[in-house]
Amino acid sequence: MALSLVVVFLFVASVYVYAAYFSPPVEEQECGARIGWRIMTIDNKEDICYDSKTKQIRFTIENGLLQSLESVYVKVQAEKAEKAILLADAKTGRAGAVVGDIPFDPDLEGKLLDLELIPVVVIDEAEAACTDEALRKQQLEPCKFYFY
Amino acid sequence: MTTKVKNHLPKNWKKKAITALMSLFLVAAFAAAVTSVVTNLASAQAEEGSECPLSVELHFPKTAVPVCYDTTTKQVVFTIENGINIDVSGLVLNVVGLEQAVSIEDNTVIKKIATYNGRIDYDSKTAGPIRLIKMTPKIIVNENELICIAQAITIGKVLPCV
Repeated sequence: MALSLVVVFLFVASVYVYAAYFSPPVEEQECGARIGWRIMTIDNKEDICYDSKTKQIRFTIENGLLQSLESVYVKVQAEKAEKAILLADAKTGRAGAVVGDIPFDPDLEGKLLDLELIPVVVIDEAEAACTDEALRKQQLEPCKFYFY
Repeated sequence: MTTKVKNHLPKNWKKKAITALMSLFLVAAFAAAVTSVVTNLASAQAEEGSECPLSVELHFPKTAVPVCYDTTTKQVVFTIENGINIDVSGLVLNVVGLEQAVSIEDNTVIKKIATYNGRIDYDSKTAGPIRLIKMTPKIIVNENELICIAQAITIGKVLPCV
Protein backbone atom coordinates (compact mmCIF):
# COMPACT_ATOMS: atom_id res chain seq x y z
CA MET A 1 0.00 0.00 0.00
CA ALA A 2 2.71 2.46 1.04
CA LEU A 3 4.78 1.46 -1.96
CA SER A 4 1.96 2.17 -4.38
CA LEU A 5 1.34 5.54 -2.73
CA VAL A 6 5.01 6.41 -3.16
CA VAL A 7 4.91 5.32 -6.82
CA VAL A 8 1.81 7.42 -7.49
CA PHE A 9 3.37 10.40 -5.71
CA LEU A 10 6.58 10.09 -7.74
CA PHE A 11 4.61 9.81 -10.97
CA VAL A 12 2.52 12.89 -10.22
CA ALA A 13 5.58 14.84 -9.10
CA SER A 14 7.53 13.95 -12.24
CA VAL A 15 4.60 14.92 -14.48
CA TYR A 16 4.31 18.25 -12.65
CA VAL A 17 8.04 18.97 -12.90
CA TYR A 18 8.04 18.13 -16.62
CA ALA A 19 4.98 20.27 -17.28
CA ALA A 20 6.34 23.18 -15.25
CA TYR A 21 9.94 23.23 -16.39
CA PHE A 22 10.61 21.04 -19.40
CA SER A 23 7.54 20.96 -21.63
CA PRO A 24 7.46 23.35 -24.60
CA PRO A 25 5.59 26.59 -23.82
CA VAL A 26 3.12 25.98 -26.62
CA GLU A 27 2.04 22.94 -28.56
CA GLU A 28 3.59 22.66 -32.00
CA GLN A 29 1.49 21.26 -34.80
CA GLU A 30 0.80 21.47 -38.51
CA CYS A 31 -2.28 23.64 -38.58
CA GLY A 32 -3.12 23.40 -42.26
CA ALA A 33 -4.66 26.85 -42.00
CA ARG A 34 -3.16 29.58 -44.12
CA ILE A 35 -2.11 32.38 -41.79
CA GLY A 36 -0.40 34.45 -44.43
CA TRP A 37 1.94 36.29 -42.08
CA ARG A 38 5.27 37.61 -43.26
CA ILE A 39 8.27 39.64 -42.27
CA MET A 40 7.34 43.27 -42.83
CA THR A 41 9.14 45.17 -45.55
CA ILE A 42 10.63 48.46 -44.38
CA ASP A 43 12.82 50.55 -46.68
CA ASN A 44 12.44 47.86 -49.36
CA LYS A 45 14.01 45.20 -47.13
CA GLU A 46 12.62 42.46 -44.95
CA ASP A 47 12.80 43.89 -41.45
CA ILE A 48 14.86 41.26 -39.67
CA CYS A 49 18.41 41.92 -38.59
CA TYR A 50 21.02 41.50 -35.89
CA ASP A 51 21.61 44.50 -33.63
CA SER A 52 25.17 44.12 -32.37
CA LYS A 53 24.75 47.19 -30.14
CA THR A 54 22.03 45.59 -28.01
CA LYS A 55 22.95 41.98 -28.91
CA GLN A 56 19.47 41.25 -30.13
CA ILE A 57 17.84 39.74 -33.16
CA ARG A 58 15.17 42.26 -34.16
CA PHE A 59 12.25 41.69 -36.49
CA THR A 60 8.88 43.08 -37.48
CA ILE A 61 6.06 40.78 -38.46
CA GLU A 62 2.96 41.67 -40.45
CA ASN A 63 0.04 39.40 -39.73
CA GLY A 64 -2.17 37.97 -42.45
CA LEU A 65 -5.83 38.68 -43.05
CA LEU A 66 -7.46 35.55 -41.72
CA GLN A 67 -6.90 35.35 -37.99
CA SER A 68 -5.38 37.08 -35.01
CA LEU A 69 -1.84 36.32 -33.95
CA GLU A 70 -1.67 35.29 -30.29
CA SER A 71 2.11 35.22 -29.90
CA VAL A 72 5.30 34.30 -31.73
CA TYR A 73 7.32 31.23 -30.87
CA VAL A 74 10.97 31.67 -31.76
CA LYS A 75 13.54 28.91 -32.03
CA VAL A 76 17.21 29.77 -32.33
CA GLN A 77 19.80 27.21 -33.27
CA ALA A 78 23.42 28.31 -33.02
CA GLU A 79 26.73 26.47 -33.09
CA LYS A 80 27.02 26.22 -29.32
CA ALA A 81 23.46 26.62 -28.08
CA GLU A 82 19.80 26.15 -28.85
CA LYS A 83 16.88 28.00 -27.35
CA ALA A 84 13.16 28.47 -27.76
CA ILE A 85 11.36 31.60 -26.61
CA LEU A 86 7.67 32.41 -26.60
CA LEU A 87 7.04 36.11 -27.23
CA ALA A 88 3.73 36.33 -25.43
CA ASP A 89 3.39 40.08 -26.04
CA ALA A 90 3.65 39.65 -29.80
CA LYS A 91 -0.09 39.74 -30.19
CA THR A 92 -1.98 41.49 -32.95
CA GLY A 93 -5.13 41.40 -35.03
CA ARG A 94 -5.68 40.85 -38.73
CA ALA A 95 -3.16 42.80 -40.84
CA GLY A 96 -1.57 44.13 -37.65
CA ALA A 97 2.14 44.42 -36.95
CA VAL A 98 4.35 43.26 -34.09
CA VAL A 99 7.94 44.03 -33.23
CA GLY A 100 9.98 41.28 -31.65
CA ASP A 101 13.47 40.95 -30.29
CA ILE A 102 15.45 37.98 -29.08
CA PRO A 103 18.65 38.21 -27.07
CA PHE A 104 21.47 36.57 -28.96
CA ASP A 105 25.19 36.76 -28.31
CA PRO A 106 27.33 35.09 -31.00
CA ASP A 107 30.37 35.32 -28.71
CA LEU A 108 28.66 32.96 -26.25
CA GLU A 109 26.27 31.00 -28.47
CA GLY A 110 28.35 30.73 -31.60
CA LYS A 111 27.36 31.45 -35.17
CA LEU A 112 23.64 31.48 -35.95
CA LEU A 113 22.64 28.38 -37.87
CA ASP A 114 18.87 28.63 -38.01
CA LEU A 115 16.22 31.04 -36.80
CA GLU A 116 12.62 29.93 -36.90
CA LEU A 117 9.64 32.22 -36.27
CA ILE A 118 6.47 30.24 -35.69
CA PRO A 119 3.04 31.90 -35.46
CA VAL A 120 0.86 30.98 -32.50
CA VAL A 121 -2.84 31.13 -33.32
CA VAL A 122 -6.04 29.69 -31.91
CA ILE A 123 -6.93 26.41 -33.58
CA ASP A 124 -9.96 24.51 -32.26
CA GLU A 125 -10.16 26.76 -29.17
CA ALA A 126 -6.54 26.09 -28.16
CA GLU A 127 -3.35 27.95 -28.92
CA ALA A 128 -1.00 26.16 -31.29
CA ALA A 129 2.33 27.00 -32.86
CA CYS A 130 1.81 26.34 -36.55
CA THR A 131 5.07 24.84 -37.79
CA ASP A 132 3.82 24.71 -41.37
CA GLU A 133 3.74 28.52 -41.41
CA ALA A 134 7.19 29.03 -39.89
CA LEU A 135 9.46 31.73 -41.33
CA ARG A 136 13.13 30.71 -41.35
CA LYS A 137 16.39 32.57 -41.70
CA GLN A 138 19.89 31.16 -41.69
CA GLN A 139 21.78 34.45 -41.73
CA LEU A 140 20.99 37.98 -40.73
CA GLU A 141 22.22 41.35 -41.86
CA PRO A 142 23.36 43.90 -39.29
CA CYS A 143 20.64 46.37 -38.30
CA LYS A 144 20.92 49.85 -39.78
CA PHE A 145 18.42 52.29 -38.32
CA TYR A 146 18.45 55.90 -39.46
CA PHE A 147 18.33 57.20 -35.89
CA TYR A 148 21.21 55.02 -34.68
CA MET B 1 -41.97 -27.07 -81.60
CA THR B 2 -42.82 -23.51 -80.75
CA THR B 3 -41.35 -21.38 -77.95
CA LYS B 4 -43.41 -18.72 -76.35
CA VAL B 5 -41.51 -15.55 -75.69
CA LYS B 6 -42.75 -14.04 -72.51
CA ASN B 7 -43.12 -10.29 -72.57
CA HIS B 8 -41.55 -8.84 -69.39
CA LEU B 9 -42.37 -5.24 -70.16
CA PRO B 10 -45.03 -3.69 -67.95
CA LYS B 11 -48.20 -2.58 -69.52
CA ASN B 12 -47.52 1.14 -68.95
CA TRP B 13 -43.95 1.14 -70.27
CA LYS B 14 -44.61 3.84 -72.77
CA LYS B 15 -45.39 6.34 -70.02
CA LYS B 16 -42.79 9.05 -69.39
CA ALA B 17 -40.40 8.49 -66.47
CA ILE B 18 -40.87 12.06 -65.23
CA THR B 19 -43.53 14.55 -66.00
CA ALA B 20 -42.92 18.08 -67.21
CA LEU B 21 -43.75 19.41 -63.76
CA MET B 22 -41.25 17.04 -62.12
CA SER B 23 -38.52 18.04 -64.57
CA LEU B 24 -39.24 21.68 -63.85
CA PHE B 25 -38.84 21.03 -60.12
CA LEU B 26 -35.61 19.12 -60.74
CA VAL B 27 -34.16 21.90 -62.88
CA ALA B 28 -35.16 24.52 -60.30
CA ALA B 29 -33.61 22.50 -57.45
CA PHE B 30 -30.42 21.94 -59.42
CA ALA B 31 -30.15 25.64 -60.30
CA ALA B 32 -30.70 26.60 -56.64
CA ALA B 33 -28.01 24.17 -55.48
CA VAL B 34 -25.49 25.41 -58.06
CA THR B 35 -26.23 29.05 -57.19
CA SER B 36 -25.77 28.33 -53.50
CA VAL B 37 -22.44 26.56 -54.03
CA VAL B 38 -21.13 29.31 -56.31
CA THR B 39 -22.22 32.06 -53.90
CA ASN B 40 -20.62 30.32 -50.95
CA LEU B 41 -17.39 29.75 -52.83
CA ALA B 42 -17.27 33.35 -54.00
CA SER B 43 -17.98 34.61 -50.50
CA ALA B 44 -15.30 32.38 -48.96
CA GLN B 45 -12.86 33.49 -51.63
CA ALA B 46 -13.62 37.12 -50.88
CA GLU B 47 -13.07 36.64 -47.15
CA GLU B 48 -9.93 34.58 -47.46
CA GLY B 49 -8.15 36.23 -50.31
CA SER B 50 -9.36 39.71 -49.56
CA GLU B 51 -8.26 40.81 -52.96
CA CYS B 52 -10.06 44.04 -53.38
CA PRO B 53 -11.90 44.18 -56.69
CA LEU B 54 -11.60 47.95 -56.97
CA SER B 55 -8.69 50.31 -56.80
CA VAL B 56 -9.23 52.22 -53.55
CA GLU B 57 -6.75 55.03 -54.33
CA LEU B 58 -6.30 56.11 -50.74
CA HIS B 59 -3.47 58.65 -50.62
CA PHE B 60 -1.74 61.31 -48.57
CA PRO B 61 -2.58 64.87 -49.64
CA LYS B 62 0.25 66.60 -51.47
CA THR B 63 -0.29 70.07 -50.10
CA ALA B 64 0.36 69.73 -46.36
CA VAL B 65 2.51 67.61 -44.07
CA PRO B 66 0.33 64.49 -44.08
CA VAL B 67 1.71 62.80 -40.95
CA CYS B 68 3.43 64.17 -37.86
CA TYR B 69 3.97 63.25 -34.22
CA ASP B 70 2.40 65.44 -31.57
CA THR B 71 4.76 65.15 -28.59
CA THR B 72 2.31 66.98 -26.31
CA THR B 73 -0.61 64.59 -26.77
CA LYS B 74 1.62 61.61 -27.68
CA GLN B 75 -0.34 60.99 -30.83
CA VAL B 76 0.41 60.48 -34.48
CA VAL B 77 -1.67 63.01 -36.41
CA PHE B 78 -2.46 62.22 -40.01
CA THR B 79 -4.50 63.35 -42.98
CA ILE B 80 -5.51 61.10 -45.85
CA GLU B 81 -7.77 61.41 -48.85
CA ASN B 82 -9.95 58.79 -50.43
CA GLY B 83 -10.15 58.29 -54.19
CA ILE B 84 -13.22 58.43 -56.40
CA ASN B 85 -13.97 54.73 -56.67
CA ILE B 86 -15.42 53.43 -53.41
CA ASP B 87 -16.15 54.41 -49.81
CA VAL B 88 -13.53 53.17 -47.35
CA SER B 89 -15.22 51.44 -44.41
CA GLY B 90 -12.23 51.79 -42.09
CA LEU B 91 -8.49 51.54 -41.74
CA VAL B 92 -6.01 49.14 -40.18
CA LEU B 93 -3.36 51.47 -38.78
CA ASN B 94 0.12 50.19 -37.93
CA VAL B 95 2.73 52.40 -36.33
CA VAL B 96 5.99 50.47 -36.21
CA GLY B 97 8.47 51.74 -33.66
CA LEU B 98 11.90 50.46 -32.76
CA GLU B 99 10.66 48.65 -29.65
CA GLN B 100 6.95 48.12 -30.27
CA ALA B 101 4.30 48.33 -32.93
CA VAL B 102 0.90 49.85 -32.32
CA SER B 103 -1.89 48.35 -34.42
CA ILE B 104 -5.45 49.61 -34.29
CA GLU B 105 -8.57 49.37 -36.41
CA ASP B 106 -10.28 52.67 -37.09
CA ASN B 107 -13.80 52.04 -38.33
CA THR B 108 -14.52 55.57 -39.48
CA VAL B 109 -16.10 55.55 -42.92
CA ILE B 110 -14.28 57.72 -45.45
CA LYS B 111 -16.57 58.63 -48.32
CA LYS B 112 -15.40 58.99 -51.91
CA ILE B 113 -13.08 62.00 -52.42
CA ALA B 114 -13.34 62.79 -48.70
CA THR B 115 -10.45 63.86 -46.47
CA TYR B 116 -9.96 62.24 -43.08
CA ASN B 117 -7.98 63.65 -40.18
CA GLY B 118 -7.08 60.95 -37.69
CA ARG B 119 -5.00 60.43 -34.56
CA ILE B 120 -3.28 57.36 -33.17
CA ASP B 121 -2.10 57.12 -29.57
CA TYR B 122 1.61 56.34 -29.64
CA ASP B 123 4.15 56.84 -26.89
CA SER B 124 7.57 57.13 -28.46
CA LYS B 125 9.22 56.81 -25.04
CA THR B 126 8.06 53.22 -24.67
CA ALA B 127 7.62 52.20 -28.31
CA GLY B 128 10.71 53.95 -29.62
CA PRO B 129 11.22 56.18 -32.64
CA ILE B 130 8.73 55.63 -35.45
CA ARG B 131 10.16 53.62 -38.31
CA LEU B 132 7.07 53.15 -40.46
CA ILE B 133 3.38 53.96 -40.55
CA LYS B 134 1.20 51.73 -42.66
CA MET B 135 -2.47 52.43 -43.34
CA THR B 136 -4.49 49.67 -44.92
CA PRO B 137 -7.99 50.46 -46.22
CA LYS B 138 -11.01 48.28 -45.57
CA ILE B 139 -13.98 48.17 -47.91
CA ILE B 140 -17.34 46.43 -47.90
CA VAL B 141 -18.12 44.20 -50.88
CA ASN B 142 -21.28 42.07 -50.90
CA GLU B 143 -21.64 42.61 -47.14
CA ASN B 144 -18.12 41.24 -46.58
CA GLU B 145 -15.43 43.43 -45.13
CA LEU B 146 -12.21 43.16 -47.12
CA ILE B 147 -8.83 44.39 -45.97
CA CYS B 148 -7.06 45.71 -49.04
CA ILE B 149 -3.49 44.91 -48.02
CA ALA B 150 -2.11 45.44 -51.50
CA GLN B 151 -3.46 48.99 -51.47
CA ALA B 152 -1.96 50.04 -48.18
CA ILE B 153 -0.10 53.34 -48.03
CA THR B 154 3.05 53.81 -46.00
CA ILE B 155 5.20 56.62 -44.77
CA GLY B 156 8.68 56.34 -43.26
CA LYS B 157 10.16 59.26 -41.39
CA VAL B 158 7.65 61.08 -39.22
CA LEU B 159 8.58 64.54 -38.00
CA PRO B 160 7.28 66.25 -34.87
CA CYS B 161 4.20 68.42 -35.44
CA VAL B 162 4.94 72.14 -35.54
